[in-house]
Amino acid sequence: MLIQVLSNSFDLVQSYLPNSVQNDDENKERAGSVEADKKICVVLLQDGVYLYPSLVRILEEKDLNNLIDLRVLDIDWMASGLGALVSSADKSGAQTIERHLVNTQQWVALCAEHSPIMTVQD
Amino acid sequence: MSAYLLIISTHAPYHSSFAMDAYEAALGATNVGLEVRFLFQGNGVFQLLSAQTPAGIQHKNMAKKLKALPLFDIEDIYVCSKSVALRFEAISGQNHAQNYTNEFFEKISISDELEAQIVNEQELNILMANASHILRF
Repeated sequence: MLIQVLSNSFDLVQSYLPNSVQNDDENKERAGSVEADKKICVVLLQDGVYLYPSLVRILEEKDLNNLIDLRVLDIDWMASGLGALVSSADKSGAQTIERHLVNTQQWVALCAEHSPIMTVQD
Repeated sequence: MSAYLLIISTHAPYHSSFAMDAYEAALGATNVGLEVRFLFQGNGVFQLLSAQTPAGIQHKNMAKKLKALPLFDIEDIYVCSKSVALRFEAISGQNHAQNYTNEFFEKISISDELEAQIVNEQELNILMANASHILRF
């Protein structure tokens, strides 16, 4: 499954994350099915890139890095100007984001690899 | 205090027209002689990040555009401190982001060429109460 996030509203995204902040029954059920399945690929695009700092933190806190493959479209990340801020706030931030960046061709390839594809937008 | 038009910009700079609409509304209003004050709130504070490089998405740099506001007689520019603090908290992982607001501002364009006042909630209410009209984008 690939979730492409075009919105910077975290509320729209969190319910699709396994064992996320919400811990209701519906979410547990979803989390179970996810764990049995492959990794979820989350691609942040457009205004979704502003969610990157929050998502990275949550993935670490909830130990979800093995379940979620987080990617960020490079042109939208560059446009946002967040890079300087993230690397200044956390010295390892610059290296971390490098691992997550994908270019347009890689994003298209990810879309071809995964099914289904869900788009989250405002 | 003279009557003024308050424009509140609450969206990130690209991928929707809100930020540009707010900017153009401000310029249009000042062109017809209105006194305009400009407030960045919510995700609008992301417009102020100085390291924006939007060439890859075929946009012009919003931060650079904003630096021109004083040239159009829009010199009363405000930034919501709570919006800044919340967003910096997400980035730094700090729980007491209010203490780091100045650090955030060092990284955004208003710190050098665009003078802006950081306003708290109370000052924000006064700003809105004294406006003759408010446009929110």
